[in-house]
Amino acid sequence: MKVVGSYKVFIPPLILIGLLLLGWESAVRIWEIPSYIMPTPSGVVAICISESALLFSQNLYTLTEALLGLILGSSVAFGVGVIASRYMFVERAVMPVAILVKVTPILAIAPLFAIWFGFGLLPKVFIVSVVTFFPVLINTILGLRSVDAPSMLVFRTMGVSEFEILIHLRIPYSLPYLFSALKISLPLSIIGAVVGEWFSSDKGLGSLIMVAHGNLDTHMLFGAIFYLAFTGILLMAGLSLLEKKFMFWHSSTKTY
Amino acid sequence: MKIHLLFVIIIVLFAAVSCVGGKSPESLTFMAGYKPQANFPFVAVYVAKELGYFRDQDIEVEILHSGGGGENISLLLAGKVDFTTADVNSIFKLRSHQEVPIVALALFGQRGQQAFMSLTNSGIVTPSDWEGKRFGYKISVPPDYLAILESNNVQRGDIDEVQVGFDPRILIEGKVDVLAVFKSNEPNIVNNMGFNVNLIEAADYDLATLGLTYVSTESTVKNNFDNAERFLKATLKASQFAIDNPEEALDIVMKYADKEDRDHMRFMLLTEIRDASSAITEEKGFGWMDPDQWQLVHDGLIRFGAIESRVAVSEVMTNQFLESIYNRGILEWP
Amino acid sequence: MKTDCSIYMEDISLSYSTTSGFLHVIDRVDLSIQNKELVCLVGRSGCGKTSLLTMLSGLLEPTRGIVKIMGNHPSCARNEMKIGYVTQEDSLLPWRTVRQNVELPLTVGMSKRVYAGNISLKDCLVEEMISSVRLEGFEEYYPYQLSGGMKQRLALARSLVYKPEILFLDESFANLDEVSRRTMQSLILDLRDRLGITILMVTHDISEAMTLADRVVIFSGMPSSVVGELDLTKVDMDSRKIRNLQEEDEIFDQILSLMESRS
Repeated sequence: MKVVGSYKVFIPPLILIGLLLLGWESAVRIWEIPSYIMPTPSGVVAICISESALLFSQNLYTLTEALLGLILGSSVAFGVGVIASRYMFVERAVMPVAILVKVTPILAIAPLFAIWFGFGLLPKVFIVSVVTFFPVLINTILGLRSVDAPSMLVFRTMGVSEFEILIHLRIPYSLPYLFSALKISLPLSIIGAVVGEWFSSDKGLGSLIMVAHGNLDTHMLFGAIFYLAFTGILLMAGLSLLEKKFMFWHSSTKTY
Repeated sequence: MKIHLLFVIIIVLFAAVSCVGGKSPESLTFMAGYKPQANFPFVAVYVAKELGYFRDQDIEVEILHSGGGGENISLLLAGKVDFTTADVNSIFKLRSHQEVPIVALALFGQRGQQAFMSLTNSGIVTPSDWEGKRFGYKISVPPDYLAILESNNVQRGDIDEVQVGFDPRILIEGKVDVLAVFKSNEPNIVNNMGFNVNLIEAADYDLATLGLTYVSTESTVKNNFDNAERFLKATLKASQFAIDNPEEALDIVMKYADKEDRDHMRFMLLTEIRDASSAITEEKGFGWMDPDQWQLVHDGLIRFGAIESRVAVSEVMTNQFLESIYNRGILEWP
Repeated sequence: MKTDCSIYMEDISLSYSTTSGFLHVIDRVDLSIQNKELVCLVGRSGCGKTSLLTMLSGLLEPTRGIVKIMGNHPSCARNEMKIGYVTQEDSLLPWRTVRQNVELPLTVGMSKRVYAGNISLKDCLVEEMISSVRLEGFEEYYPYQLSGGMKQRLALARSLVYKPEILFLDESFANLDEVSRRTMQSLILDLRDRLGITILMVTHDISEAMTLADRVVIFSGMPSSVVGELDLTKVDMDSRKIRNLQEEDEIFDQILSLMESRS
């Protein structure tokens, strides 16, 4: 019986990706597609290596903006969610505003953040926090209200306070919902940081992408995208580890 | 028998004439480098279409607009678009960095539109006043700016340079002290907000700058001379119409740019018309390109690190269409 | 009013408002349970037994009638942590070990004030209770690592660690196998004798009621009400051994017929 998690699990997707990359490389070479139309995978890899110092350092800026914004947005969303889950009138007041923020295209308001908050880290952190707010808010409200009914009954008969119920019951039971929200918000945070850099930064991968795009430098463009993707994958892996640690008790983290 | 033969001949001739007479005009695509507005090269295309100049040249031109993200060049290179606009600096950069085979066919910006704007009440009047201030630029530091610094012995290290978006409110809100702008656009916007501005441009210091051109690909230049010539003839005639009849030209512009403010469109058009003439256009015809001017711009880009590899001017521009369109400075029509 | 009763219900009715009018669930129930008495409330599934327990816990107000726990409104007893509750479903906190689950009631509510400064006493109580329910050696296990019977023993330990005076068992053994159920029944009787608590146990298992109860209250009808009571202390059930099978059958049939009388 094969053990789940064996390295052999990775072979099929690696083969498929390899074939796709080979096809891509061949197509560009055979049809002599100019690099300003489409790069080659080998060219992208080459630039990832030759410009690794630049790409890595710029990636750190973007990553910092993304993580700070995610922490801010999630924390505020969680705080608002705790209050909204307890008081229906708060939920009714907050939800239309939250939906308005969610559906507003961030490209439309990102330039305003630069006008309001200037340059540096702040406008990008705020953009990321706006973008990551909604999923965490919704799932916080949902999660805090999803306490196991028998547990709630037993707790209430002990005469515990609402605050103690929040700490000992609601928050732990909401963890699956929160982690689901973070899995959505985390990639959004990277996108938000990149968009923010387009309007108020000469640092970060977003800025690099814009310059590469203007120069039709598709190798650098794809190289930056690859770094972003790799960062996203690493962060999601980190989140999965945290999830396994804090939610070891939940069926979603068990493998059968 | 003879009558029958004559009858057949008439029918055959009629059919032949019908085929020739019924031939549809060549369909071409022009993509403006930004949204519908009164940039002079865009106006020329709008006017040429509305006044039937394209039809007179037996071509049909579909007008598209780019979002401003540079996709017009990508589409040109992919063969989806026949002609578009590009500024001279970009043409040199793309050729130098990526060997992008685009060629300028006619020049609208005999002087560049890049300027550096500050509020009058900021006290910033000359480039030396930039020291200790914050300068906002779009995408990359403009070579014009670097040229001005050098020419005025201003230390670049004493200026805080930041990349900003396209909103001039960043200057009004005091987030930057000097802002890189297009002469034909932001200064008027800021004036209309109630602020007086001061403009500095490279041309003030006798530094060579050039503006917008019509561009196409090397392939079009080599293989579609006829279409390119017709397109240019119609648009250059339309340009002359716009110069002579700006209000009528604006009427046409407003059909395309119906969401824009007419007064601002007027400002844009008149500003660019002023910069569209030079000694060489007076002599040889509107749109003519001076290779020496192009060389100066190229050398400036090399000097200030905007491009690293040298580019032959003859690779990125050609007057061959203009030579066939103009006769001693007069446009031959149709 | 019998003020010396642990549990007292007088003329209790419960109705719910629905889209098609009112749904009467419980009608005019009188029930009183003495200190240290073990009473089993027997009835079919869905007849409102759990609603009765919820009212006795002070978490649901009756539409009519009086509820008293130790002479006061049930919320007083709740706030003073005098009520323990074991549900049929798993109510354990899966992220806490056996020890942590048992310890939790001593760190919340009124208990927090009592035991906050006395960690060794708290630990001692926890150890003692784990031992009482025969879960020694499993202190660091998590609920998902325990069997059904072990989980219910853990739930019992958690509900008794803070020494409540009243224990509600809501079909707590319904999901257990025969052996585990007998173990739990034996444990209940042992703990009742040692701790001197009053127990109200809801069950649909007549045999179980007969095994455990001092008194069986039969709940039936729609709306439900008390249709009969059997005082099993008057039946010679020394050590819960029925003297003869015929007597056992007679009692069983009596209870069953009362349950069916107003179904």
